[in-house]
Amino acid sequence: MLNSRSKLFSFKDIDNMAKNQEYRDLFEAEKNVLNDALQNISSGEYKDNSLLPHYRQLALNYKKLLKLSDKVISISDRQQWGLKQVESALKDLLDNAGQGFLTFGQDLRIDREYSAECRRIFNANIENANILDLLRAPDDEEQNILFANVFNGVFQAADETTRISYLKRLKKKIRINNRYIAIEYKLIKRFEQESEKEAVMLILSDVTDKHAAEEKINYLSYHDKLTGLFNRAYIDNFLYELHDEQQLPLSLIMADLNGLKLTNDVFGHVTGDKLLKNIAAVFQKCCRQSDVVARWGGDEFIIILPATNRESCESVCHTIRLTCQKAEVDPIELSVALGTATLHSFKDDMLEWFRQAESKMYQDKLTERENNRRRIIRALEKKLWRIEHENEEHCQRIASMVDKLAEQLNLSPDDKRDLHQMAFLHDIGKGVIPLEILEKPLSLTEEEWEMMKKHCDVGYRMAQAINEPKLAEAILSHHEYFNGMGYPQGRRGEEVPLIARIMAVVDAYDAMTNHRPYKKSIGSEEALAELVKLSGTQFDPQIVDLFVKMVRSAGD
Amino acid sequence: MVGINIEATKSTPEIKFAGNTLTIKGQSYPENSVSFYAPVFAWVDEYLEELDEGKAIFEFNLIYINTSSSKCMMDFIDKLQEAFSRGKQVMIKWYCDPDNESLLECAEEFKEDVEFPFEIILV
Repeated sequence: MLNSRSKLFSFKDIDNMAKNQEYRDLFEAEKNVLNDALQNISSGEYKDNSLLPHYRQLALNYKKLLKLSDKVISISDRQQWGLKQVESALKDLLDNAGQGFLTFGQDLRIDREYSAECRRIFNANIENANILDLLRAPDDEEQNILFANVFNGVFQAADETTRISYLKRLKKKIRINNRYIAIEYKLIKRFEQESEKEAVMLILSDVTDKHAAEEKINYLSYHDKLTGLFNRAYIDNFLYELHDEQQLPLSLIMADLNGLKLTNDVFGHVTGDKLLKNIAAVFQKCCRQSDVVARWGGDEFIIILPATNRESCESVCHTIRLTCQKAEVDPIELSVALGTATLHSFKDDMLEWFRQAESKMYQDKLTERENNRRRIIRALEKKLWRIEHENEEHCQRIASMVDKLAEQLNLSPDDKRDLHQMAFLHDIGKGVIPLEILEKPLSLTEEEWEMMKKHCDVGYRMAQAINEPKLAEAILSHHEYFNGMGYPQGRRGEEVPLIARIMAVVDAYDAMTNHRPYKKSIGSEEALAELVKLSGTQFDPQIVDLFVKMVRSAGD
Repeated sequence: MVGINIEATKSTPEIKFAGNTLTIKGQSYPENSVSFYAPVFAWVDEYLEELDEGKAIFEFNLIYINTSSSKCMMDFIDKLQEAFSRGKQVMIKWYCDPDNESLLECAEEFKEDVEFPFEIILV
């Protein structure tokens, strides 16, 4: 008893009751009251008062309560501080997860706590906002109604299975503020005042970039990258899923672009690609929205025309041909071989349908071959004639002279035709030589000269591309010398095709007698003398002899 | 003596007795702490009364306790202190997360003025 008394009446003990300054201050008034009470008890002034033992007991309990309060508050504050730290750490995790987390209950209003990503996705603070307003799509009323039905239904449903089945009806990806947002819907139990209440949690992920990549992959899977038309894979799928009788009769156009190989060989693949794009544009212009235009591969295209009979299909082909004719010549006139077939029942053999269209297309290509060849040659000539001195007049003059020589040499009709064409196409390879080199008034540098010499080879490839092998050989050799000192192969004598030897003489004469950027023209006699001088070395002596006589007799 | 076995809820801890050990584990923020802990205290009183030579171990593994629960815990510890004064062999094992400084300080606070064995175990 004495011990507990001395403990009770220790003032130092009271001062040390609160370890921390803040708690010492917190109970300052109470401590003063206790101090006063203890002083009263120890003063002896009330020693005879019958209430003193009760007063002492009261002081003892008051001290105990004070100590208890001090401890409980101290513990509570620490607990709260710890909680705050956990809360802060959790919030950091959620805010930096790159996902939007939000919850709402039966009133469909967003709860106070949501992650930072929600603010970015909705571009607003969403506390207390209605979830239906947040997810509302301005252009999709069906979706808006679905959200309203589902979210209201979830909170009215009797059991969890029904609630989950409601949520499963919702779209997993929607658009919010022009961004694509993937949404996971979860049922959660929210703790409120000792009881648990149903709530819905939405986990939102901004998948705009992923969506764009998927769209691109999807697009590339079913489209031709160059022309933007559908590709073969799309057609395969389209035909596989085609069962609607309303699509019948189903017409098919198979198309083959003329001159692509030549364009690629002569003008390069960039120009060839341009040609493909041009024809794709023609197809799209001539077809309806409901038609399916696809690049089948290489230079082949197909067009599927639903609910189109044979006559209408032929009419589309006619429009395509007309549009091609009207199109800009870039670099060659647009031209396609077309073949059609019409399917009247899905029971008919689709392979046969394709074969029929393909067969007609090849037939068309064969019929039009000569026309196509002419079109291509015309395009090549035009390309050449951009060079001042290689103009049409130069070609006409040469043609006139070689035609006469051909007569005198008594050439075969085929050789005469080739020689005549040679007049127009012998320098066709110059079409790819830069104009600044072709029209340079000064001597060419070694490098420029090497480039210039390539025109024989380019011309050779061009003639091969239009299926003119004999002409190609002549073009390749028309700068060879009779003594083998020419280019590009150093052929000599009769190794050089006859029409090339003829062309070498006539071309040289025309070049000397007409102005060139790098050389002034000379008179006819002077030019003939030069030919004679080079006869046997550069030129075939027999041709020179014949040509000199022909020019002189014409002059007489 | 019949043991005690209370399952945990979101707001109340699991309380179980096995062997000679009473374990209180979880969070404690009941709406009414006094009424929640009243049957526990009644059981503890009876158990301590019946405790003879044996040793009674009380394990506390509390993540969060609210203020009124803190008061109850202090009353609990007072009970043990009082039993110890009467010669009963009691001890507390107070489990704490070493990374949570606040909980460690709380444990120290509870341990203060206790005269029987009070072991703070960091796990």
